[in-house]
Amino acid sequence: MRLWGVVSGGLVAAVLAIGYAALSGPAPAILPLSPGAFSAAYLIPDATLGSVELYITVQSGEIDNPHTPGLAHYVEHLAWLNAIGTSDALTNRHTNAWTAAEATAYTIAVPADSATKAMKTLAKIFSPFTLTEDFMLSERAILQREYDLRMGDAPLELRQQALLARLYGDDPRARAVLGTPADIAAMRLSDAVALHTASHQPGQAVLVIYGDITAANAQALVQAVPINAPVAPPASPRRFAAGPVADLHHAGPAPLVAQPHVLAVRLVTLPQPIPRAQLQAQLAMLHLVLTSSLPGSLAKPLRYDAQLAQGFELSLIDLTDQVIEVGFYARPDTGTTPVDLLAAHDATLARIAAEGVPQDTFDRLHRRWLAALTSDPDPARATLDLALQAAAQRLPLQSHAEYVDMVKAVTRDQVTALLRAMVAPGRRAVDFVTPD
Amino acid sequence: MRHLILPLVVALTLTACQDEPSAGLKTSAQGHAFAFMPMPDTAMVSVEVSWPMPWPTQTGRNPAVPYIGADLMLGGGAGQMSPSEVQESFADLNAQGYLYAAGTTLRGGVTAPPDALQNAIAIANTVLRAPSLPQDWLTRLRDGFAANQTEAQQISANQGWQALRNVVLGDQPYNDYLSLTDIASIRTTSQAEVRQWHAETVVGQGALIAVAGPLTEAEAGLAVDALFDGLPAGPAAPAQIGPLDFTPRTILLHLPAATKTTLGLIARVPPTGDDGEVDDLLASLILGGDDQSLLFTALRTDLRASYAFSAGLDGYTRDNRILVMSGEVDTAQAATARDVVVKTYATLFTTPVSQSALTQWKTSVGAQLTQGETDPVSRTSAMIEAMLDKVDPLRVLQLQGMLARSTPESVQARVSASYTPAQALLIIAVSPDADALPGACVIATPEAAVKCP
Repeated sequence: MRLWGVVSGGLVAAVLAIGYAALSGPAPAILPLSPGAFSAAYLIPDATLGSVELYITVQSGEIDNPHTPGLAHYVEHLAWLNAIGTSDALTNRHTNAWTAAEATAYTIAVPADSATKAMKTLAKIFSPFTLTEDFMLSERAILQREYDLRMGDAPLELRQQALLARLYGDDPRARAVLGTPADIAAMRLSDAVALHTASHQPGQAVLVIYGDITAANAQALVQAVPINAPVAPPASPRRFAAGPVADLHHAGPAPLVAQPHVLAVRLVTLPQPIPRAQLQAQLAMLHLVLTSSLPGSLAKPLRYDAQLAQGFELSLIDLTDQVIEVGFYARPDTGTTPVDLLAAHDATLARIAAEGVPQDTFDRLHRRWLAALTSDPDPARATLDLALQAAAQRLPLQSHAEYVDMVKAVTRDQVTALLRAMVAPGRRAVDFVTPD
Repeated sequence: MRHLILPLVVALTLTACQDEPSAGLKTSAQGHAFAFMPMPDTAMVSVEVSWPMPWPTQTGRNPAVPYIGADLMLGGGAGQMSPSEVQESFADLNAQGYLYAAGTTLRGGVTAPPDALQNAIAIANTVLRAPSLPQDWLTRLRDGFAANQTEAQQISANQGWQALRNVVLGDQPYNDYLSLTDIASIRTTSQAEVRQWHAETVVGQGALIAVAGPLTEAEAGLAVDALFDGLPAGPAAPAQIGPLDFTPRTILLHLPAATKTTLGLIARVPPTGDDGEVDDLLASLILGGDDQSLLFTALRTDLRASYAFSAGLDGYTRDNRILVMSGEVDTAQAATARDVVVKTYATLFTTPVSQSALTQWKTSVGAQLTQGETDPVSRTSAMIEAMLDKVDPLRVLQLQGMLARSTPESVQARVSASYTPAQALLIIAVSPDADALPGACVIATPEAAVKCP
């Protein structure tokens, strides 16, 4: 069912739906700036943009929140309102903010001639709140409306949250970033102020400046933010072995769900640490292999040769240089039970791991991936995306060109080794969701 | 320094359009008319097609067939190629093929690097001409589609939109096609129905075609002929949609189990195709496009009743476009929120929008238009849209000028002259509280909406 019965947005909407862009220009750079008050600052120049985008990633997120679950998200709302949302300083701008497990991020995009004013506005996320207490307390109602919007009709999201809570046990990653309605109601302003003070310091934030600006002017923007007393970054919890090696099974109906689903997430500990950037490239290659329909994939036996999975998603997330989270989210085909589908998935992975990724498949997908990467229609934006992802994961930033080099270096043996680690015994949470 | 170069490139392109017939409506060697725009500095070729599709408006047709049929053509293999081979062959070429039902049209196309275009077009032609349409993939797709529709129709907000379609479109087949409430018809979709739909829709004549990218007119013509090679003659009959009813109503769909209240207000706006189209976009953005918009400020910042109340343009048909103002609201404040939205919307009629807001959105939209100037997919989509509006396919080249001419006064004049007045909006609320919207026609199911006066 379409929301409104959409037919067309007309000519203007069609033009605004941007797909492919122009031929790639020179490889974009990522230029380190003198960090000033920040822990690090970078410029990604893109003179074609005609505007400037500022990104501050505070390297503190929900896992660093010792208070009510979801409070980091409340702090993000308050900090954004305090700096930008209630400010009239800038009218011609676009802005956003988000909270994740390891980071809280803020962005503002303005015409190039407003960059200095935008930097000063954005930097107020570090300032003490000056909003009225009533207004700040009423923001909890807005959080509740956001919860309604995102979770109100999303039973699978709720089941996934519960699944991750079982998987991670006492680890802070068990907490949902949005919290629950009860959490939101229990949030205290004093806790929010304390968390903001502890976390929102330029010294634990990375600044990325993107767009139509010279290095000298970008450096001047950095210097516009006063240097505060250095604050020690919060210790990152890394207690991923939150319980014994085991499969934690759950099953049951969910409202609004009309078809069975398999939700299975495993924590995998690698035999040896792998530098994160390399690990991410290897995981991305493994993802390409498993989701293709070529020999050595999951999709070929589960979806193309047999009708077992109507569809599936695979997520491969590096949590540290030695721990990865592997998620398998699938809908069985008619006639296949969720239990049978997960069993087929496990057996298939075990077989591929034993046989190794076929060389032909690896070569074909590796070649395809490199071709797509090197013809990226917007390499500057791709560099920005990689940089922001790295900042949110508390990793060093790398350029698109460095990423391409990393991809070139991925080998079949590395990918097969990751696959073999994935099928070793580990801690896994499983949920078989059935229609209500 | 492409920001300095781009205006020059645009100017040259426009000049070239005036001096030589390189861009415009062309005819291939096999007699297919197509809109063409050469874009020598781009990396991809885009070929896009819009077939007229009267099926959704015809009595007795299974309304699910166009959706499932398009997916089955793409996903079920074609000619001697298995489903996997079609997918992997496109991917090896760094190409994409797509096909989807959009209103009374079937839209599809191919994007590919120039050196892979011939092979990509050959695959696409096989998919169009000889799709396998196998029973096992049909069963899989229709089961999945039925389950997805069942889930979607349980979402409280979607039931509200369905109630509105029931009053606006009535019981004509086109409503069945847009709403898909008959899940059984999805589950019983047959190969015979899909074959009939394919034979009637994917035909060699009557389609609108657009080509853009780094290729010559002759190469574009060859690509069009290759794409349409072997398709049966047409064209299909034009779609006939009955009158729509926009009589103002306020309806509350009472769903006791709903976890939230959703509010939607609908205004009718003019069809696309005239110069006011840009003013329409700017009006919707200023009204509800971001955190500085009129509705966001009124509903979230001031009233504290909503997380993100927004406005956007949509349409039931090409001739029946609507401005949709919607969002989740605090149940206890639903009535106040409704009044605030109406009052905020009414200001568009009485007061010119602020110059600063207009400047903000003109800058933003202008930047996106500039990006579109180097995007072949954007260009082919724009040319198709223009042809559907029965205007010059190169009208896209005039958009920057139309944007530059927009003023607070032109936006106000457009709204005042053409939009549904504030006191005549169609209003829907979906709520667990039957009393959330005093004065509303309270119903228990979307089907009951037709009884609301």
